[in-house]
Amino acid sequence: MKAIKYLLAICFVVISGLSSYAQNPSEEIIFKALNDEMVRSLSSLKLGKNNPPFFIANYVSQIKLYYAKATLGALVHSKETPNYNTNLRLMVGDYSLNDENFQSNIQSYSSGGAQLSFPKEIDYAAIRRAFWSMSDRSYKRAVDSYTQKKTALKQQNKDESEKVDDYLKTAPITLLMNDIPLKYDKKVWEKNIKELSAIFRKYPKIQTSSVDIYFTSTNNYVINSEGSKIKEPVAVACLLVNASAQAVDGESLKDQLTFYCPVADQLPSLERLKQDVNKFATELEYRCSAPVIEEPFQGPVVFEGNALVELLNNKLLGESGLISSREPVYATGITGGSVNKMENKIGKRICAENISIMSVSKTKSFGDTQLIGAFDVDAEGVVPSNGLVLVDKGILKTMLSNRIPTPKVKESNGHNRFGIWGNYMKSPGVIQVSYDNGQSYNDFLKTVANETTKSGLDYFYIIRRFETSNMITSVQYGSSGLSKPVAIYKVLAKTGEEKLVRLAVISEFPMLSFKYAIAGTTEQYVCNTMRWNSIPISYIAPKAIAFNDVSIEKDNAPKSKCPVVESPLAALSK
Amino acid sequence: MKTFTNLRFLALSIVLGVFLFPRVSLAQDKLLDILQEEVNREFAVLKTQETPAYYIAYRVDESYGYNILAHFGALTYSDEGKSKILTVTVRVGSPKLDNFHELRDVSSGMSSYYFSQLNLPDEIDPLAIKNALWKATSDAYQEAVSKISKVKANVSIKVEEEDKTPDFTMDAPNKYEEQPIKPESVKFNVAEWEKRIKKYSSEFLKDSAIFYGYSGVSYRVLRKYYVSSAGDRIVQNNPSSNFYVQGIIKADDGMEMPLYKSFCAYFPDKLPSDKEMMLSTQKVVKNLIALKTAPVAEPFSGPALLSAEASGVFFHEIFGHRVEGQRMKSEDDAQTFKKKVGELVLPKSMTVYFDPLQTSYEGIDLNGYYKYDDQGSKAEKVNIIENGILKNFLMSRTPIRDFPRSNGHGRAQAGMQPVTRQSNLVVETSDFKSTKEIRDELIRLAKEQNRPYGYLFQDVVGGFTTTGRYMPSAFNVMPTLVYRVYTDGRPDEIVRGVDLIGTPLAMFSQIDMAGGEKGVFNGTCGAESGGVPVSGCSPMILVKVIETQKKSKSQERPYILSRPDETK
Repeated sequence: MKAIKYLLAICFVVISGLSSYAQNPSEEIIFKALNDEMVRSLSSLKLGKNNPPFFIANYVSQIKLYYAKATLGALVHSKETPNYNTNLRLMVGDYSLNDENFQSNIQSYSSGGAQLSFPKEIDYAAIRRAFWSMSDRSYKRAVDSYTQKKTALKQQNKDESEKVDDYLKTAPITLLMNDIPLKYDKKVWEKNIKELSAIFRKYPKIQTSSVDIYFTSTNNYVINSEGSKIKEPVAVACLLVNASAQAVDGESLKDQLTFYCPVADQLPSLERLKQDVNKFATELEYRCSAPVIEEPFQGPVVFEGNALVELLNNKLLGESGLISSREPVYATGITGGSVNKMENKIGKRICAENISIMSVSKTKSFGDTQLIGAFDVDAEGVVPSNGLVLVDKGILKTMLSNRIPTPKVKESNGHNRFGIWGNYMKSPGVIQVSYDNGQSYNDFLKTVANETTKSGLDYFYIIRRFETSNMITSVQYGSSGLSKPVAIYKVLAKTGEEKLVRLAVISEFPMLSFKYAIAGTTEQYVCNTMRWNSIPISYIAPKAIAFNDVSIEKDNAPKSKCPVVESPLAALSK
Repeated sequence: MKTFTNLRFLALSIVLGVFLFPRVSLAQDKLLDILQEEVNREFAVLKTQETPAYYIAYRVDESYGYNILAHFGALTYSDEGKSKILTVTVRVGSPKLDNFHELRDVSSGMSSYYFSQLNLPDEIDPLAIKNALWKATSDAYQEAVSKISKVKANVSIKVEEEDKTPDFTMDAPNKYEEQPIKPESVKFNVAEWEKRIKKYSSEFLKDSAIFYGYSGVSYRVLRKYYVSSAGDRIVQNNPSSNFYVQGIIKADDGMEMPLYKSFCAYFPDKLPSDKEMMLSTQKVVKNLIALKTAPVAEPFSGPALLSAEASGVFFHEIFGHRVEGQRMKSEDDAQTFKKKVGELVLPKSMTVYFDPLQTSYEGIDLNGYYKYDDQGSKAEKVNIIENGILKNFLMSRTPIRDFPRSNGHGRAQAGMQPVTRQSNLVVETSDFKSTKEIRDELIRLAKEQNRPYGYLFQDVVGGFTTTGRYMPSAFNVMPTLVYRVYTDGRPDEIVRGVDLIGTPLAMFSQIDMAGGEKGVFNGTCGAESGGVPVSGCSPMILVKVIETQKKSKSQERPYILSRPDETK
């Protein structure tokens, strides 16, 4: 049997918040109940000749959420909702061969369908019963999967050298951190969002609008059979401004403004928010009558600010990007799903040589901005590597990973992240993108303009914002893997004159396009965002990067007719 | 497929409702005014379009309430909630042919029942509310215009329809306003209820084989608004409260056996006493323990006695869904009773009616109570069967041949478009037998059919039925507590794993007598227009021949480890 690979032992004993951390009685009960039921399951959960589980991790997430919404100055909703979420990961077999990664590479957490709810009031027996119920189901499912997987492997003719352990063993860690209190003044925030949403009363072309806030603070408790004991808080305060309008030709125009930070009092001031909302609404109204792109385009495109972060987040750091993925074992006759093949490019160029990318997931702030993507330990008890070089001068070095090794990424760098809803998934934390030989923004634009002229074109495009999914709206991703650009400007190469246009989509943006960067800025842009409305991520990136040969074309999606009846806002504004 | 489930399954999400003593208000309801103003403004323009709207209606389901839940003695949920859900109906074309007309042979033929919910602002801000109404109306109008073109094409290429009645009935507008029920006027002590609910659910700890046990209480006040372009202006209150317990035990062969008990009342203080709730819970626990080792019933054909509650579900499934008028308009519906008006379909002693205005039966508050339906029609008592003869159907504002008008049974869940649905079903007999007489007859019938026993269906969780033509027009009632009643005088024996199945006409012809105790099954019926609160009221029913089949069973082994009940 292949030797079990051990990760570098990093044995922490209460490494963070040690001086002030005090376990409260409720936490003691939670940890004791999780541990006691785990210990019982490890020793006694046994079915016939099958062995008991060799690994169990019990998870509890204590979620506090305040959600409020207002539209046109009226409150729609305002409520704090406490909740608990439970998860359990149970494996049978051993580290080299276990039940996971069979048919699907989604980890076999047991959640959601828990027969017994986690108690609202901390209750030792009730917590154990919740995990007793989940453990039983998980064990039976794991035994079934393990048996089938072994049979499938026997039928496959895999080279011994291709074999990789199913799970990496790691040294136990104890990391108990203080809560991040969910602090906000309900009355103040209700008033704030009412005032902000009332701004849209002045914009009659805007059909729907809302201002929503989500303030969350989640304590994640984990205990596993390797001896790890973790309490890690995740907190995000989010303010979302959503609005939609319709262009004169019926094109649906949706846009959003998002603000993310760890806690509510770090959100921008009301005055600053009002300025931003006014600007946002003005632009959206202007887009209703903005010109439509005239012709298909292939040439230089500048991705700036949020648009660059969206591009990086959806493509380069997306599921098909720099996140390692293990190919599952499939039963005979079952066709595999999509597996990220990016690791085959390790050691090869994937970006322009000016571009370097680092994971700095323990970096908590950058300048004045608190980074919501920062974390101290992942959901598998691995401390993230800080300063992990993913791409060096365009060359792929490694990928973000968890404890399921792949042929070319054999160690975890601690990126099985805790989400705000008590879920876990592989995801970036804090990503720093740099551009060698960057330029000032003005010089950068001149370089792009020159490149445009050299290509025989009169104009290039700047994209400053895409339609993005958030907790209120979801968007369609096109064949390029990107959503529709909502702030896209046609820039004349000769004069630098910018003109807002609409009805444009990026028809394709293959990974190959990252090799064709023209220029980048020295000025940096810091952005907090979310993945699947669940995992907080932060980016520190150049303000803008331009890529060549990007294809943009007219959006041919069907358009609805404009409303026949005048909106009440329009009627009022007369 | 139409389902009838016990409230307990849906208690956290489904709005239930009835209000016993509505008071007519002289004060104007601001929301009602806002709705009325906007519907008038929209209609004034949309009726003049190339594809004109001829009817627009706004429904708003405004609710507030509380839910408490505990599992095995531990509080697992306790929260209050409120919402204000808008549902818009836009009809284009004409009452003769509109966008709600059935699309034949089109898989999206159910699209007129689409689900579209919009939460209106909690605060009464006329501009914010009107803007939401305007956008929702615009979207609904565009959808309606698109649909009517499909309808016209469909009508032109298909054979003539059997039922050529119009798609909609334009009635004189109704006006009715009740004062809101103030939250502070209803006593609901959260701390006290939490304590009680924990106490009841802890009864399930008494047997270690019970792997799931909870109890809960919910209380909600629903205030329903309806305005239309025809001038309807209605607002009514539907408060409801429910107490429920559920436990599940698993037999060694893997079969999981749930038992439920619930009580409904309009207001929490009318729910049963603490003692009654505790006794009911203890009875559920006792029956669960008995079920664990009960013999598995084999498929059976023979006589059976249905308890009052079981009979309520039985009539709801085999009969109620088949007298929902609008359903019979569909060319895909089996139309079991459509041409049987005037015929004897039950014993001459039996009468079946639906009465949404009836507030209680045998002292039990009824779930299917309302004053006006979800199409603004006044609720009416409808005698469906009189002395065994089929007389009438439940009608919404979609007429069928010979039944041109609504009798106030157009109903829907918030966010869905109404269709004909049931309300409070009541079965009566003029030849009421005592419990002894009815049991004796059961035994006599079993002997006559050479059966060693007949069945007693004591408790059911719900049922479902199919009324289409593609699948057999059959029903399935899901009993949870079933006994063999032996002909040789042995005590009744509890059995497990039985489903009561059949086809409606065959089963109806076998109904023999009614009597014994009377009872109510309060529940939520799920069908095309979502979940609506309903009741089935009946005496016990004796059926000469029923058919049972084995219940589907879990293949999961029992829990490997014992339930951990240690407290520290």
